[in-house]
This record gives sequence, structure tokens and C-alpha cells, in this order.
Amino acid sequence: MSLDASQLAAQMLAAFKQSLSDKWPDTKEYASSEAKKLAENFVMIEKLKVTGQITNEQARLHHEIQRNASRAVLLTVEGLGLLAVEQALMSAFSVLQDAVNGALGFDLL
Amino acid sequence: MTPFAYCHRTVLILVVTTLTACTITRVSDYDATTDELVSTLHKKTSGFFHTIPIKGEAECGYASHQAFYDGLRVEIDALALRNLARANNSLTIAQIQGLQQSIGAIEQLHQLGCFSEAQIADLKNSLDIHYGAILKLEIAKQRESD
Repeated sequence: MSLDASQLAAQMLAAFKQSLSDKWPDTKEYASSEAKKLAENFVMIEKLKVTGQITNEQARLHHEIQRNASRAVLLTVEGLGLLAVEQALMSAFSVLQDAVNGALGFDLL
Repeated sequence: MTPFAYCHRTVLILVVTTLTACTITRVSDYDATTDELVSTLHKKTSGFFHTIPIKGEAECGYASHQAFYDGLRVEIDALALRNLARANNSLTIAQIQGLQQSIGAIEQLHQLGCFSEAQIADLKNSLDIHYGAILKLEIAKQRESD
């Protein structure tokens, strides 16, 4: 069965999206572009294998490198989500800072 | 201080304590050295794939390029060690460990035979994506407040 790069890219994008929930819009562009590149690479490896240009062992190693690259992208997407949450908390914290310090009568924050 | 004011102040302190706990950083701070090391590694591997002789050409075999892999391994190990020492850095550590595995796999591939043009294109693309992911996360750590 041959691989379809667009379908593969859409499936990878869905996996990236799942790990980011509500912070998805901020990183969609990056994840979409990387998913497309990764899918094209997977298709290229499959083509090399099917046409006998690489052995099964070589295909396994190419796939391992691809998997590591995909995982690196996923980890970045996860990190961007955590940073966005952290930034939101810091903003909320900053808004309360003056009010809390004023109410307490001293600079706690 | 009236009992109401005392109670009010206590509640405020509790709220503030909770908020402060929520703002604990879960992603490490930006590290310029990591940024620089990853960029340097990227340039080296990219240069390697641009200049390496392809299958059928002289000196395309692993033996002629072993020194490149040895040098690269040392530099990635140093990068990994530096990042292991950084707090809240599990994401970047996992990315670098993946990179170490990938360089090992590329070395194994080279030991199996000279690279074809298509193989070089695939490997270069994969590493570009991998390095790009590490850099994107590192650069994002330069938080808005920095």
C-alpha cells in the first residue's frame, strides 16, 4: 500500500493538535508546515524501499531518524503550549499585583 | 485591626500564595549557549550533507568520514550534558537525546554503504526539522518579560 503525503500530514497535524488543546491557534502554522515536511519524508523513504534503492535495514534507520524528528516537533509544540499557559498566568498575576499590595498595605508581591 | 480586616488580609495572603504557586515555571529559561551550539551543529551537519560524495564517487564511504562523526558526537554530548544541568528542561533534553540517536542512526546507515542523492535529501530534511524544533523551543523561552 502506498502512502499519501497529504493524508499523512493531516493525521500528524491532528496528533500535534491533540497535545495543544486551546493553545492550538498560536502554533498551528509551525505544526502544519513541519507535519507536511515530515509526511513528504515518510513517503520518500517508502519510495526508496519499494524501488529497491534501500534495504529493509536502511529503511528502518531512516524511519528511526524520522520518528526522532517528529518527536522533536511534538515536544516543541508541547513546550509552546506550556509557555503560553505560563505567560497567561503571569499576566493574571501582574494584574492582581497592585490591588493585592494596596489592600495589604505592604508590597508582598 | 478589626476581625473582619484580619480575616480579609488572611484570605488575600492565601489567594496570593496560591497564585504564586501557579506561576512556577515549567519550562527552563532561555540559554544563549544552547542556541549557539545547536546552530553550530546544524551548520556542520548541513555542510556535511552538501559536500559528501554520493554513491559511486570516490571517498563516499564511511571510513573517509569517521572523523566527522567522532567530532559531532563529542559536541552533541557536550550539548546534552549542559542541558541536563538546566532546571525544568525535560523537553529540550528529550529533543537532544533524540538527536544523539539520529546521528548514531546516520552513522550506522553510512557504515552500511555510501549515501545516494535521495538518501542525503531525506537525512538533511529530517535533521533540519529536528534542529529547527530544538531552536524554535529555545528561542520561545525568551519570554515576553525578558
